[in-house]
Amino acid sequence: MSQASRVSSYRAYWTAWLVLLLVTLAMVFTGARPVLVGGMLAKAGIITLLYMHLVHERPRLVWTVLLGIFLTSAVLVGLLIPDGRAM
Amino acid sequence: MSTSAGSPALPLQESSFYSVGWRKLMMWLFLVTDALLFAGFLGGYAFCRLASDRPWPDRSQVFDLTFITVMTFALITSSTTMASAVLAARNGRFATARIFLLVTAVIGVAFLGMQAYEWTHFIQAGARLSENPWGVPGFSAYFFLITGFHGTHVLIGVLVLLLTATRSLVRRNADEMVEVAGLYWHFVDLVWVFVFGCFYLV
Repeated sequence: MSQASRVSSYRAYWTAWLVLLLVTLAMVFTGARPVLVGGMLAKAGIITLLYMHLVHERPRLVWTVLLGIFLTSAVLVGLLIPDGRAM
Repeated sequence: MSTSAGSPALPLQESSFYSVGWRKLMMWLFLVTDALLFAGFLGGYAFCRLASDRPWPDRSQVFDLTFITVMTFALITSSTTMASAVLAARNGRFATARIFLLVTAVIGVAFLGMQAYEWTHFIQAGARLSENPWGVPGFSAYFFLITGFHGTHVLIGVLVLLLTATRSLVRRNADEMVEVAGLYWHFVDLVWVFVFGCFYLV
């Protein structure tokens, strides 16, 4: 059985829901770029770590997923954005 | 795979390397590849926007951001009910899990309805795949591409939730089936976080 069987509580989920709503409102009402970027990363972290139980998984799976998604996405965006600016 | 008395033991039900069930591992790997698809879309969108020689349309003038925020709230709420369904299934409370799954599916349908309304409004304003009244064709093209793909994921997610609620909960590995369906649904929410931030707000 995976370690994800050690799930969180309903209260943790609904507290996270409240935090996600507040972060979303902060993003909409401020509109400042640092808040937007920080808000997106914070929300992504809450969803993957808490809702998707990644925090309870073995480090091998965590690193496979995180490297797979964020490293390659960063390379992709990092290659495209400078080219877009240069045009 | 079915077994009978005296037959060899079943193959390993989980990956020994990751210590996670194969269904769940395959879903994770699928989500990684799917994330790259959306990263490509958003990267292409960023390229198009930066390379545009005309000012990018002001989204607050084009879209009703309050309405989009309500759509975002709906998805966040559905992720929470989905997580609650997984928790209930883990605890063996399958009737509760079914209720949470169905509530999640209903919110997903509501999200799709709101997206259909938004698309209708956008099209009635003159937006098409290749042109729009704001003079930046890439704007509407990427809108339809990104929100269309995301909406398709939501639709598939709703179908998966309904199938899980009606068929999978009676199976021996029901808790794992709910968890795998939950991973997909949370991914849909995760993608929307970046679509909402990058397309509507930045």
